[in-house]
Amino acid sequence: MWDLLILNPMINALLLIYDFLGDNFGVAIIIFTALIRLITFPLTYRQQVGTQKMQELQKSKRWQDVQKKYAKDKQKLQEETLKLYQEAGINPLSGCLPLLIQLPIIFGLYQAIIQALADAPLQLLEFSKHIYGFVSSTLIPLNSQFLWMDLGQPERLELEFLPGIGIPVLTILVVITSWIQTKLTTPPSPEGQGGQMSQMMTIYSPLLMGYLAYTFAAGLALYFLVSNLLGIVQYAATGRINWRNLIPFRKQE
Amino acid sequence: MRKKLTNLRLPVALLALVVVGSVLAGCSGSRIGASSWPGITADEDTVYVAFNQSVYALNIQTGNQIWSFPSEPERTQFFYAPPALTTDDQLIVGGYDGIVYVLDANTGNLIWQFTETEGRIENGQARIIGGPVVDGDRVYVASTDGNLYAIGLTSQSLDWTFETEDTLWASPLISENTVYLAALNQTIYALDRETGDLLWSEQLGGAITDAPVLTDGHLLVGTFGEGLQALESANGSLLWRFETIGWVWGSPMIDEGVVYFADVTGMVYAADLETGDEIWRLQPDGPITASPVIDGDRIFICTSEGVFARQAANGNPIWQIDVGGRALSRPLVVDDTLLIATIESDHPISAYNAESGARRWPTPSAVE
Repeated sequence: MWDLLILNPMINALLLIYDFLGDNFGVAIIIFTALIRLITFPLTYRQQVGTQKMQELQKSKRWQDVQKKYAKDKQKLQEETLKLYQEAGINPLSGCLPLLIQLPIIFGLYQAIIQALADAPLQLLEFSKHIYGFVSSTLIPLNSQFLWMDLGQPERLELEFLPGIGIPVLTILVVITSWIQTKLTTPPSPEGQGGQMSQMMTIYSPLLMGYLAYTFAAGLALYFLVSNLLGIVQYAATGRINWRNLIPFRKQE
Repeated sequence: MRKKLTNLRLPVALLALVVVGSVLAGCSGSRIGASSWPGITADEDTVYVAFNQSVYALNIQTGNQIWSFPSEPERTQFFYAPPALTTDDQLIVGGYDGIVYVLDANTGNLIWQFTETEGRIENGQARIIGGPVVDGDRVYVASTDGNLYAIGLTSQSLDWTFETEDTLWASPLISENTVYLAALNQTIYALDRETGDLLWSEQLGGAITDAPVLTDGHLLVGTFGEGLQALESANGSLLWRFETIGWVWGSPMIDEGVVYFADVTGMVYAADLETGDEIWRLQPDGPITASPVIDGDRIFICTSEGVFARQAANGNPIWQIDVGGRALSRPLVVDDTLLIATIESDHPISAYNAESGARRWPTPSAVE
């Protein structure tokens, strides 16, 4: 089921884009990421609207009153909070949806990249099972070189004046763009639990992305980088972006 | 209670990190486990197997292990290329670390090793995937670094190197004065056997994973997407092309004017060598990467689902067996014994009666 619904369409979409763009797998990943961003934009947009509504709700006097009034009665607090969500037309789980959609895409894309850039017989044989009949077999083997990197291997830039030292350029860019994206798109939260969670997201999310970018194939890191950049652009396009939130130690607006 | 919930956020975030990391690591599992199928070679008494972290020798009659190399498997050492035997009992083994090991075929002791083939390439570690080919006092080794190395066995030094921009998975083919070299990147090269100078090269339009076969001036090459091609061996011009359904992975097999070959969709073909006209085709079961093997009037076909014996003349069934794992390696016939290598099996090598398909011996994995 995974292969049928996720992996095979991804592999073949990548191959078709690769073929169309003149055998450049890096550009194929960039175009593919843009398509994924475009397809999931309605969900992302809904999530952003939902987040903003929640932010406004949490600033309201009613919310603050409820929090204070039922601070010692956890069950009642939950009931009243849910009521407030219902009245404001907010689905508290809507924020998770884009993330849940992203996960199978990340897993699928990673598998697609690793299999498409097979460097051993069993991998290549496995890859052959995923190719649709209408996709040309003469594309094999795919060209895995893109700029200075091999998309099937973890990326390191080796400079002549720094022999033996590989600089993980993509990892650094992924961490920076993840941090910027999280900072810009995570709404300011009230003090306490929500605020701590928000702060933790700002720290752990870029670190997680950086770890993955550093450890796994450069093709996946390229996806993260392009996805982050497009995410920022998309958010900016909705007119909600506040660049001042990027200033360190400054309370978010 | 609220404080407790807050404290749980950190472990939950870390758990998410571990889960995502683990799943992605699992996705790349093939890099950690076997990345190819066993490479096997045999003389009249012994079968030599290169699989995963060991090269080992088994007695053909009993299946008992004679020796194993290295004595203690190393994490970074893998072997899949079929070893090559010399007339003076040296076993030449190509490693996934790019090193050529020369072993004593009787004891498995390392005699010497050639490390000029080792090294990192842009695509990672250089590997030897196609089996070395012995030619008198020389061995030819094709590496994924794009080089064909001609190594003197007595001198233990490089006679010549032919450099390509390609990835080489296939063993070279040695004829009278020419070395034919097929590249994964769709090109076939003809080189001067003595000097390694390029005589001609042709782009075939499809990836090539196994060695070409030469007979009567016909150079036969299986490709991905461009079927089986017959080339004029003198200049590489196309004589005929046989269109296949899937990728032709293994080398074709030629017998009495008929060429037999298979593709990864599991289709087996027999075609006329002169014209390329189809004689018969059949589809046993499961993808095929191994070359078919002809033994008398029978053809043995190894697939991911088992081993099939068919009549070479018309493809009619003789017997078929389940061998407990994917049989993707080229089978070997020694006298009346059919040797089959499998992956994902407790017994990587098994011996069968070639006549009846009855099992003669299993052998415990060398890793065990």
